[in-house]
Amino acid sequence: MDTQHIRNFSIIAHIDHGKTTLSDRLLQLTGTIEQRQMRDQLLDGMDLERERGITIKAHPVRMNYRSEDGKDYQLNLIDTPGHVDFSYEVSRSLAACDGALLLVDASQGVEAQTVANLHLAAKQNLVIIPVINKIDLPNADVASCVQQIEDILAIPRDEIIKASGKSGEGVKDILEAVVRRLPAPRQTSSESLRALTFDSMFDTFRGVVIHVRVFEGEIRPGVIIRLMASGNDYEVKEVGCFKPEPVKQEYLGTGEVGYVIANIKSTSDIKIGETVTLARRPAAEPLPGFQQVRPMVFSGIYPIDTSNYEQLKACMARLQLNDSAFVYQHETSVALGFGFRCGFLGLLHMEIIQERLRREYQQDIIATYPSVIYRVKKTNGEELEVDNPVHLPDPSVIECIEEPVVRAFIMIPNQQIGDIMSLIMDRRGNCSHTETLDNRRVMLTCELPLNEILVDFNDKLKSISRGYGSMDYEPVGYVQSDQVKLDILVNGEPVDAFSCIVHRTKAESRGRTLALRLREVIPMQLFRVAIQAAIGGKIIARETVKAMGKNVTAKCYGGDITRKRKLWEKQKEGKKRMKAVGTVNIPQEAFIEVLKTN
Amino acid sequence: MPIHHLYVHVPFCPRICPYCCFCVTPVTRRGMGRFLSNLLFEYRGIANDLQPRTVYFGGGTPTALPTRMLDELLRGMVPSGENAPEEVTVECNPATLSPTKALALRRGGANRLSIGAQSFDPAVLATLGRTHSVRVIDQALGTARMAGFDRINLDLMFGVPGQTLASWEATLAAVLERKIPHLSCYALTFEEDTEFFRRKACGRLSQDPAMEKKMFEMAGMMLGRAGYRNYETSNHALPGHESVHNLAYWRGEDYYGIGPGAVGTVRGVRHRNGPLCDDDSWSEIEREELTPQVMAAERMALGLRTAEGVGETGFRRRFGFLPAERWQKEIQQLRDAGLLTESAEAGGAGRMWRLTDRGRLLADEAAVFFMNEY
Repeated sequence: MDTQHIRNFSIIAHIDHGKTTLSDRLLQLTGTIEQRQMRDQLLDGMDLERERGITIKAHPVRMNYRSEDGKDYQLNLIDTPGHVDFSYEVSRSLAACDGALLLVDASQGVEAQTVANLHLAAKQNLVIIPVINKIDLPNADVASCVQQIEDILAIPRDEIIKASGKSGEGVKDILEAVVRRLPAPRQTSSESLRALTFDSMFDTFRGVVIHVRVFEGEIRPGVIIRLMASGNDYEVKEVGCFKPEPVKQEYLGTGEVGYVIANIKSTSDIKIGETVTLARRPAAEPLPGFQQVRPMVFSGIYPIDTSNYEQLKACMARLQLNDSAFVYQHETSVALGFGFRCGFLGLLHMEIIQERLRREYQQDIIATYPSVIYRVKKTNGEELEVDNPVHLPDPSVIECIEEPVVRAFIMIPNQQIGDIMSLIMDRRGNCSHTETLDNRRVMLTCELPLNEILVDFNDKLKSISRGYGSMDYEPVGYVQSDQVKLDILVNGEPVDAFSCIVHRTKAESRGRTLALRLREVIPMQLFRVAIQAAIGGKIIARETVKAMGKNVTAKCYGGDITRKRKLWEKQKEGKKRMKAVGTVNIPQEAFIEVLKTN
Repeated sequence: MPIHHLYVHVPFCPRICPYCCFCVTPVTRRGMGRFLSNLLFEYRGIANDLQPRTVYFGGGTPTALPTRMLDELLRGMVPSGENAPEEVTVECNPATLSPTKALALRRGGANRLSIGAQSFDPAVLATLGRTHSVRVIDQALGTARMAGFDRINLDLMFGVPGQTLASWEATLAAVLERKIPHLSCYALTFEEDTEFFRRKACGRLSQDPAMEKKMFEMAGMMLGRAGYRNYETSNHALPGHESVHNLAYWRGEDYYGIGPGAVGTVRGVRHRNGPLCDDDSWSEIEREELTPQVMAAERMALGLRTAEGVGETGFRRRFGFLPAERWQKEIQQLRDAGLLTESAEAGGAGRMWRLTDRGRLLADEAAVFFMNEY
């Protein structure tokens, strides 16, 4: 198809603003899928996605649409992962588009993520079509949404389309706007090929399937392609598009979006943002914007039963096949045995991986307290990066430590500004900018240490703002910080899985709470268990779990034996699910409990 | 080899105690007749495989049966003359042991009585919902002795809500004064499907583990000083008065169980009868094939409840391996925690495994160590 009749676009929105429902409606209206095939949230393939209402992996879908001008158009909808952790993927997906629908929930209004996403789209010079969605909700406040879009996003009100993904109202207008307002892909006369890889997934039978947007030239089965960043060559086996099932095509031409199957073994061989070109006639320059994605958050993942290490390793490898942003390497913990140090793009990414290991792969795992990457300068001039408290050098040889800082955009109702400010202060942050958005909400711009928002900042924000607050962040660099290592000793033995690096001003209270919390979750054992918190060898808190006093069945005669044995067997099972650290059995909850900061 | 131990369950009680989880039913005379003939029928089915050294009539309250039926029951199941078992126990409650019945039991070959006295403190008896008084207990003891029973057990209960340490001490003093040769001291347990369990669940009754521990230790101490051996977790006996029948359970010997709710373990198969139906019949509802591994684990768990412990020579003869081979790590852990000790077998070449005083308080914890994936 000539580029004049192609439109490539995506939908950007805050979580829960109805992106997936609207996408499904577009598929339906263009006849891409039939009514009877409709299943809620069709594009969210993973159970976890459907459950959490978020889209983790992007699937591009091709729709054919006859516009009111009587012409047939090819519309490629590139669904983007809707979370800050995946902002690089979002930016690559957006780079594959020429325009975007900006979705705002009629009952929620503009959110922090809406702003952040709009910024991302603006950076790519995308044409924006603002859409107020869910206008059929009883608590929809369309008028104030219009005002917010105009005030906060600086988009004129006459461009706004009012729609409902649920009822289908206004959806036709959206399709017409896509055709009329969005630019067609640029027609170029290049002889070579330049295609942007914006996603990849692993198919057990066909290997890696890459998702591409062709900017110049065309791509056909049989040609040898080259990945410009890695320099590797592969023969193309098949090209096609998603409708939403994969449909083979003869070729993908300029401006088109689709998939390419070449002999690529693993998704780690193909980086998101790679430029695909021809091996025989390579393009002079790759497409702009490629970055090596670096994990921001690290955590140890260990099998509860050490004998399941190999099994877990296989699961990790399979997970990585589909998610090249997830990195892991072997690690040994004194307390937990063999396991893996894992790197994630952010908190949600971490949670998702851990959940998938537990649920999809049925692995009983323990995840250790997440850490950011600290930069440590030693007195001998050596510099190192530390992502695991265990590797923090002795304080005597540390010159200074730097920690990563993020700039966070926090949108909250006016009334809670005081509470949020004190939360930010409590997390060692400072607010650089306060902007009144409308008569009920403000946006705070603040700098926060990343490690302070690692665990429960978002939950806190949500609870203080009764669910109305939202936030987004971007890394801004490193600053020097007074960090110390907090150790927890169980019966005199440091449990490395409980160690963490914390700011000195917080170490003592955190140590005390942690010891107390562990006392509550570690069950009584055959002997007394001492739990101590220590900073650099100095004990700052101590709690004791008393030894078990009496546990003996009074009556155990012929008729009681089987029942008792089953009880003992059950207890044995329970014990097996605990982690034996030295002679102390520590239940899983203890490792989870440590993740909660207060 | 025939089976040497027989348990017979008689489910009738004049009144159902609020803490009891056994197979029990209120008394009706007509039902008893049918029950008895069904019981004798079940007995005939196993009689050929039986050469009883011990017979135990438990319940329920066997003495809730009328004298005529008690006669018939014992006549039917207790061999006499040179085949007479060495121990025939009948459970009774103080209020149902009349002189006539006591004599009937003796006549039928019973030589041991187990009396559900529970306490010598009227307040505790009231909490337990028992209708008898201390005077009734004494009457029952007198009746038993008059009929010629010198092997007598009293069941006692501690850890009863409201029971004080002083009350428990007074009860122990009372039994010592009466020179009862065998005592079973049970901590009250809140079993599911009992009135007490429901009361506890809704917060009307509570347990005090620290108090239970003190009472357990007090019984061991007072009775020990008076010459009793705490030969199993809950059982104390003057020398020669141990219950041979109960020891058979703890030593992992085979036994038949007949009557509603009864359990037997014969040649690696454990069978369980269902409850008494409306037509006073019952039937087997469960058969469990015990693997050697399960039996070995049970042998450890139960054997360690006894003062004699588990000797490895006998253990190996039966299972083909030594405890220290299969449970090397576990045994070490239990020893390190001060729950288990090792000594030499009397006369044997092997080792003897026993729980320490502290271990006996934690016998269930110790048992867990021997449970494996089978």
